[in-house]
Amino acid sequence: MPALATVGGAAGAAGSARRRRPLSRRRHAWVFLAPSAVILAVFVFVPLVSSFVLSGLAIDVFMNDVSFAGLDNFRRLVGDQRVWGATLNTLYFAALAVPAQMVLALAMASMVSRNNRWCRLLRSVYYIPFVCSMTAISIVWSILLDPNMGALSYLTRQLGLGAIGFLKDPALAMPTVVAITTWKGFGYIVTLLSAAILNVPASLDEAAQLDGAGPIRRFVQITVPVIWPTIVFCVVTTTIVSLQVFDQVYIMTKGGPHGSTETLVAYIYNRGFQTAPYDLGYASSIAVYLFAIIAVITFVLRRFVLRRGEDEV
Amino acid sequence: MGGRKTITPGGVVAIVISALVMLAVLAPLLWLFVSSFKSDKEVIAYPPTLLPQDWTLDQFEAVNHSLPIAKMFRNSLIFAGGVTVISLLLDSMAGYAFARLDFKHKKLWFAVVLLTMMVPFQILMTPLYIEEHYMGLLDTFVGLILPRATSAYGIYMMRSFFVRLPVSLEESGRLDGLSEFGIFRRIMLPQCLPALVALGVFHFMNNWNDLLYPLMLTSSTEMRTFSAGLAMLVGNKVIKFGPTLAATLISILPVLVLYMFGQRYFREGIASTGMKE
Amino acid sequence: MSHIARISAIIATAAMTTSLAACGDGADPGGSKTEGGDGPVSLSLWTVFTGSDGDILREIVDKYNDSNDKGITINLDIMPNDQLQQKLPAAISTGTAPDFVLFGVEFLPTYVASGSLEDISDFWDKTGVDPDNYLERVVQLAQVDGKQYGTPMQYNLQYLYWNKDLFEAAGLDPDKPPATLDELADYAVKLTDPDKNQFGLALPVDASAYPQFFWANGGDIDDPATNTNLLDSPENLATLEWAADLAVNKKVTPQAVTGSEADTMLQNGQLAMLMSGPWQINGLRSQGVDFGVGPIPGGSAGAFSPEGGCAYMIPKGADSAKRDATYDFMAYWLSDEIMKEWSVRNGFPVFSKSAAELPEVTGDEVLKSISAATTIGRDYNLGYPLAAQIDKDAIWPLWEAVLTGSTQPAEALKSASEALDSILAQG
Repeated sequence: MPALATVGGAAGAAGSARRRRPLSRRRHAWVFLAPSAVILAVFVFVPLVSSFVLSGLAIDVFMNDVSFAGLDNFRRLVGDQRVWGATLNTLYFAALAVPAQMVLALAMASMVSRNNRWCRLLRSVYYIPFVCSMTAISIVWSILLDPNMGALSYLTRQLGLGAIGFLKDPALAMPTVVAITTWKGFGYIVTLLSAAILNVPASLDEAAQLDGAGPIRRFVQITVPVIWPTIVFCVVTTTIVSLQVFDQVYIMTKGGPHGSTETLVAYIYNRGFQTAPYDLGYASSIAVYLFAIIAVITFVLRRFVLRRGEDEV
Repeated sequence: MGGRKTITPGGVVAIVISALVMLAVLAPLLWLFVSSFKSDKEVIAYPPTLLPQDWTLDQFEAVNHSLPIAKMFRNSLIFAGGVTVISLLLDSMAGYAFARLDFKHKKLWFAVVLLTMMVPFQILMTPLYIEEHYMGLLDTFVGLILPRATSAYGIYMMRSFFVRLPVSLEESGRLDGLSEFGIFRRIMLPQCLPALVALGVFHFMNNWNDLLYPLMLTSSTEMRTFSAGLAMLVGNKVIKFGPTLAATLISILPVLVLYMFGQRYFREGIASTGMKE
Repeated sequence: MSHIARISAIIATAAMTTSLAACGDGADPGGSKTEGGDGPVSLSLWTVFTGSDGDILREIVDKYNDSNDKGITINLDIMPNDQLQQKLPAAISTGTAPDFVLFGVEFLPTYVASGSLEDISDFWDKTGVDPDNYLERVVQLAQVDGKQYGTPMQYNLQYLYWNKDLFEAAGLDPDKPPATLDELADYAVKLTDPDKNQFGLALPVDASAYPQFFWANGGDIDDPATNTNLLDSPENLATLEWAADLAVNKKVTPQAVTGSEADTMLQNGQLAMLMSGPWQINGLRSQGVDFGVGPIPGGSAGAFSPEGGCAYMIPKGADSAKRDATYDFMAYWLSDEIMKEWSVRNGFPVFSKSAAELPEVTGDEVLKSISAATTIGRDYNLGYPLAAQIDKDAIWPLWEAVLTGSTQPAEALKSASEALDSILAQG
């Protein structure tokens, strides 16, 4: 991102925000952190560590007949074709869904981040799909996209294009799931970006305007650098969420056709809770494996890809 | 961004594109809206009809007949509302600490917080169920709300907003003799009002729509949320689309209203920024 | 309760907190309170009956709550099957399970294998309900190794549904469904009309009823008694080639259709024939479809259909008062009055000999045909813990590959057989 390297003043404000402060003020931090820390530790960290422990056990959901399995579950994982397939499907989904949502959201945010009635209306409308449950949205789209009964295929038929089995064709199914995910999620990112953009001091933009910079250039050179932490947040969290994609696949395709949309979480759910014998130990080991994938990708994103100057993102 | 001035060609393109995107977003939702007023026969008719031939409230009556809507709404409201209010406070406090305060191993702790987002929650449900059993929290609102009362997502989000604010703001508060918490509450937090609203809607809708989590942690119909009701309508073997669509529509409305309401605060948040600059 | 100790050990290791371990030794079943012999008893029941049959079930339970003279109240909790199957094991391990549960008998063996269900073989003696009054196969569905683990709630096979209007439009006799697989194929072609987007016969890619095609031609899938793989046979290859011809060449089925899509198409008149369970009947009735229902067509070896059903079961750890109260409701369900009501309103076959004689039952056209078609039941891996894996990991992918034409039948059969080998190796 060469254009971003040339950023001036605005970013400096964020960069200098964190400097060494006197020791006496450090204990304040713990007051701010304590409630969250306790809750996360008890209700998230304990189950999380439990699932790590479970991955080393031979154990089903009934938790009878527990025995120590060592690395058996992980050895099985390496030889499991479906884990490989699900890994590729998951990465494919994230590789499509994250850029699709970010690019669309940035483009739209650049157009609707003004404080007038029309822009507020647009932002509200874009946001609507996001507040609907994924279950509901998936049901709506699977009816609309059905090649035999759906309104969309009726339309394409009338136009002489024939019916397209969006969720039936192994090559089309995943891109279709991505498109629906994007449709549902981009409006939320628009809102976040807008909230950040609207906080950009107008003086910065006006100065650039006086210099004769066009709207696109101003957006890239002034706005983007100032809202960079928000962009990074959106990219990182969208990536983490995308790598755990489940609901839409679970309802719309059940992992099919021919396993082309079976993601890692879908496979974890299948092994652990849907298909007897419910192998909680093995499912947990796949979850640990997914955890490692997400952690590495997040680390790389934050450390190398999204890093700008000295800022820790 | 520039103010409202003469409309440029670029501005026209922007308006056209953003309006087209709006249509693409709305079309399926309008279909949902219209279809929930169709009869059983018409919902699945082929060729599909655009508008209902006879507008009917049958589907809503069917939903009303099958589900204790009022009770489920109340439960959803307590659960999702409780989580939203508490987590907004806790998330922004923790996010503030990570963004603007110093403490030992800050980067490490932040990484630890992020790690909690990386395990699919489906796999955490069974341990959480057992844990809540031992703590005696199963089937209580406390047991539903507490585990969600803060989240790595919210902390991270608030941090990303706090981190952008100029140091001058903070220092002016310090000169006024405000305490660290006073600076947070009176100066820094109002700056992030739009973010708070967005996060609030996020938490609310996430919990409002969640199925597995409230279903696992409650054991009586008295405690069931609306999303569980929606799942009850979708048949075990044969899906009945009419009531499902109607219930979907009902479930969306409260979150939508909340968002429309929240929109006003975006403006106010921005207005306050304007004064400070 | 030793497994409780084990779980707390796991949690404790994980948590490394002493507080959790300290309260982990209490073995009291949190959900159920011990109640006196004759006082009011409140029972919790978890079930998977969502949708319209769930409404009927709730009405019957309400009626029972109002009418029984023993002060028994049943609190019905309905949730989707996937969520119930995820929650129940955790609930059983922590002693917070409901007093009884109701779901498909195909899930029963896993629970029995882990020792999670009560042996209720004394149900018949204690309640005086005569087991001989019910079809033997139905009573056996909820048995494992001769022990009774559940009482039957409903029983079903697969049936052939056909749309009478579409039959007439195609010049076929609407009261004469195909009796053989050859006729079925023949009719399916005649009933397919691409211009109207109408299909003759749906062959869903995710249906679990495919053993009936193998069986009809003398093939089979596996023998659970000996863990033997019977899949890769010439009979099965012929069956698959027949199906591929129908789906891929003659295109009588909607491409890659799923079971629930096929249901909808049968209801809106885009589909002429479908093989499915009795749960179709309510939907077809409410959509006003003029339909017929009859037995699955047979092949060279005869006609067979895989059995299914639901049963009431009691999770481990119930006290005797609760158990007696549950027995009372189970017996109530098996009474002629309720059996009749459930069957008439839902279209499920009557499996009680005395209820079958009732005039409301003998006078009901749909019930009469469905009961007549319920004599060709065959056990498909019921009570076999590997059943679900065999279906999901070997048989469904096989049929999906064959029906969509992505793989040639011979090749698909070979790889499915290999998949089956590795599943059976666990047994």
